[in-house]
Amino acid sequence: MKGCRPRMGRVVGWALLFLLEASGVGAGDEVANATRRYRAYELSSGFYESHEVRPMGRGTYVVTPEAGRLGAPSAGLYHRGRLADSHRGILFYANRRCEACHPDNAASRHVVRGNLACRQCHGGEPIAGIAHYYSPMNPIRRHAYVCARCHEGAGASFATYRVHEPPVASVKAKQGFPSLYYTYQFMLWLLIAVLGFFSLHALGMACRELVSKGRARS
Amino acid sequence: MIRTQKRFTLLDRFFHLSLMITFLIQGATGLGQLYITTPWGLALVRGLGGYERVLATHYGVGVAMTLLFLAHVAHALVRMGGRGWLGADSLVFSLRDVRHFGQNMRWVAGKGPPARLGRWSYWEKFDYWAVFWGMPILAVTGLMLYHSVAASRYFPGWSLNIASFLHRAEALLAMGYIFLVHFFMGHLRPSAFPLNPVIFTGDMSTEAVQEEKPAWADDLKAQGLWENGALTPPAPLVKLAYTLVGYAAVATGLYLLINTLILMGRMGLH
Ligand code: HEC
Ligand code: HEC
Ligand code: HEC
Repeated sequence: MKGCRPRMGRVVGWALLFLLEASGVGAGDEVANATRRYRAYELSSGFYESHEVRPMGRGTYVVTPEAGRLGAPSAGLYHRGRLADSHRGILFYANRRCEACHPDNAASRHVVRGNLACRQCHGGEPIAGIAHYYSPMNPIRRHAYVCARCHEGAGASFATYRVHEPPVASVKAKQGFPSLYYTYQFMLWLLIAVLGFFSLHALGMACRELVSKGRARS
Repeated sequence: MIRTQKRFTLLDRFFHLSLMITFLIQGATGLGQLYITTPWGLALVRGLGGYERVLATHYGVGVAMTLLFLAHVAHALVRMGGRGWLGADSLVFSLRDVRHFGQNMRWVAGKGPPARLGRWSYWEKFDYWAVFWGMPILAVTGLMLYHSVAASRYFPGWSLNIASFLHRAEALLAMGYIFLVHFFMGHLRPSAFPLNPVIFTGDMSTEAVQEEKPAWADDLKAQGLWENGALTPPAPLVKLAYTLVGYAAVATGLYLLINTLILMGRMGLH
C-alpha cells in the first residue's frame, strides 16, 4: 500500500497535465480568434480614419471661422454646428448662463432630473458645434468621450439616444423624431378611445341600474 | 349560511391579489420618480424611503410582476389545454359578447331587457385581456430602461427615448383604466356597491349569480351543479379584512390618479 500512493499521485498528475494540455489547445483557439471576439464587443462607431490628423474628404466638417467659408459669425448664426467654437463672436456670451440662450435644451431629463450641468457633457471652453469634426459630440466618438464617462460600457448605438428630446407632441418632434411623434399620437388616441369608450359604458350602465333599482323599490 | 358557486380558484385569487399589490406599488414608486421634480412627487418619494430605495423597489417589483405574469400565462395555457379555448366558461371573446354589448346599450337607452350575461361579461373579458397588452409593453420597455446600455446592443439608442415615453404612457393608460373603470365596474356600480367580494372569497352567492349572470345560472342548472353549491357560513372578520384591503386599494389608486392628472396638466409626462 505504501508504494501505491506515489504511483497513484503520478497517474493523477499525468492525467491533470493531459487535461491542462487539452484546455491549452482551447486557449490557443481563443487567441487565434481574438480579433473577431474583440470586434463583437468593441464599443465603437466603426469609423476609423486612415490618417490621424485631418479627416479625409470631410473638409466641410473642419470649418474654422478663419477659413471664412461660412461667413463671419455676425453674418448669420446658422451653421454654427460646424464651428470649433460655436459661441465665437456672440456678444455677452461670457456673462450669461446656458439656460438663458438655450431654454429648450435646459428641459432635458439629464438636466432637470439628473441634475447635470451642461458642461458635464459639452465640456469646457470652447464648446464646439455638434457636427464639428473634432467635437467630442461628433457621433463617431460621442459614446466614448461623453456618455461613457457616466454610463459604463456605452457604445455608439447608446449614444444615438436623444439627450435633448423634442417635446413629443411638437412639430419639431414630427420633423426631427417622427417615430417618437407617431408613438405619441398612437398612445394618445388609444388612451382617448379606451377611457372614453369604457367610461361612457360604465356611466350608462350605472345610471340605468339606479333607475331600475328605483323602479323595483317603488 | 348562504349557497354559493365557485367562481375563482385559490390560484386565480392569488394572481389577482398579487397583481393588485404589485400594480399599486409600481404606480406609487413610478409616479414618485416621474414627478420627483414637484413637491408632491418629492414628498411621495421621501415617504417611500428615498430615491434609491424607490428605484430599487420599482425594478424588483417590476421583475416580480413579469415573472408572475409569465407564471399566469403558463397556468392559463395548461388549464386551457385541459378545457378547450372556447365555450360558455371561456374568457375568449366571442360573437355573443358583441350581441350582449348591443343589448346592454339598447337597455341603457330604455329599450328592451338587459343582456343575459354568462360567466364572464364582455367588460370582464376586456379587463382580463387588457393585462396581456399592458404587461408585455411595460415589461419590455421597463427592462430596456433598467439595463439601458445592454439594451442599446440590441436596439438603436434612440429607441430608449421611445421606450421611456411608451413606459410612461402605457402606465398612465393602465392606471387610468384600473383606477377609474375597473374599480367602478367592479365595486362602485350600484349592483356591486359597496364592495364586490367575489374576487377575494372566490365564491359567488347563487342569488347574485341568478341576478347578474343569468346565462351562467342556466348553464349551472343544466349541468345539475346549481344545487351542489357549497354552503358558506358568513365570516364577518374575513369580510372586514377584504373590505378594508379593497377600499385601501381604491383610495390609494384614486389618490395617485388625481394627483397625476393635476401634475400632467402642468408638465406632461416629463
Ligand atoms: C449669449 C447666448 C448664449 C449662451 C449664454 C450660450 N449659448 Fe450656446 N449658442 C448660442 C448661439 C446663438 C448658438 C448658435 C445657434 C445655432 O447654431 O443654431 C449657440 C450654439 C451652441 C452649440 C452648438 C449648436 C449646434 O448646432 O452644434 C452648443 C453645443 C451650445 N451652444 C452649448 C452651449 C452651452 C453648453 C452653453 C453654456 C455653457 C451655452 N451654449 C451658452 C448662444 C448662447
Ligand atoms: C447628457 C449630456 C448632455 C447634457 C447634460 C447637455 N447636453 Fe446638450 N447635447 C448633448 C448631445 C448628445 C447633443 C447632440 C444632439 C442631441 O442628442 O440632441 C447635444 C446638443 C446640444 C445643442 C445643439 C442643438 C440641439 O438642441 O440639439 C445645444 C444648443 C445644447 N446641447 C445645449 C445644452 C445646454 C444649454 C445644456 C444645459 C442646460 C445641455 N446642452 C446639456 C448632450 C448633453
Ligand atoms: C455626467 C454624467 C452623465 C453623462 C455624461 C451622461 N449621462 Fe445619461 N444619465 C445620467 C444620469 C444621472 C441619469 C439618470 C437620470 C434620472 O435619474 O432620471 C442618466 C440617464 C440616462 C438614460 C436613461 C433615461 C431614462 O429616460 O430613463 C439614458 C438613455 C442616458 N442617460 C443616455 C445618455 C447618453 C446617450 C449620454 C451621452 C450623450 C449620456 N447619457 C451622458 C448621467 C450622465
